[in-house]
Amino acid sequence: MTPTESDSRGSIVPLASGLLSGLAALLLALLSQSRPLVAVGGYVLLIGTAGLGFVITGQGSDRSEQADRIGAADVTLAVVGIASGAVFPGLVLAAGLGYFRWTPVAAGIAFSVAGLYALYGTVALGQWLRTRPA
Amino acid sequence: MTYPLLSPVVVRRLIGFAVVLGSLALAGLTIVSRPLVGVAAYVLSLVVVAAALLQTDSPVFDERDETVSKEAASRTLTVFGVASAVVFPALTVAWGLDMFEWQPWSSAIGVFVAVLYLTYGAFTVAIGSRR
Repeated sequence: MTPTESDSRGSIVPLASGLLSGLAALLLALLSQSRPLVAVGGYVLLIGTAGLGFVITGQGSDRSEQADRIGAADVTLAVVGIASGAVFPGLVLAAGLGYFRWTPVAAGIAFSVAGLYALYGTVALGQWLRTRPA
Repeated sequence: MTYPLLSPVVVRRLIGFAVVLGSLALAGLTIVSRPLVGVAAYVLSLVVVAAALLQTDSPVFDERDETVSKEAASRTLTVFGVASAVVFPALTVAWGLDMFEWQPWSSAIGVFVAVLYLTYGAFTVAIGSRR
């Protein structure tokens, strides 16, 4: 890919909105304890600004960036899946042998992982059936 | 193993069923307090996957499987992300208005989602910079 003017200008938007989203999440995490309404107001404002950037520049549909995101999603789910596939059976075994007790925190994470991969499995199966050659 | 005994289609189905049944058995048997049986079932499913992979020479997963897996991963993280971006701020508002109390398990889910998307963001940056 040869860099053009529109590329260099466009690459600012994903970067800036990524930073704004990170800032928004940080704000939510830090201020939700003390000032929940300020935190949520700031969150909505920052996320809205980030989204507006994409709407105005029409960015975010760049082919190669889309491919990066799709590749990254695949790698992320693979890494989290492999880690979970090793960690959770280990925890179950440890709990069965009395070395570990399920706490609400561990159970919450376990249920998030289960929900995430149930969703992934459903989406993948649906897509697989739809793109099936006749 | 130099001779293929199973066709890629059979191997794919075996792997699919083994992974789904193994995970369900692990989760279900843990919930009904039979953790050791659950782990045994899970290990058995891993053995089935490994054995199935050894019984074939030809590539098991083709390009269409890869494309489906990638697009499904992207859609899953999008759906999960949009849902989280709505649910967690809403819970925070509810908490601020004393209509919701954070529990250890709900905070754990929040932290898990945050870590998941930090990982996703890091991989996006890493893959983008390598291009």
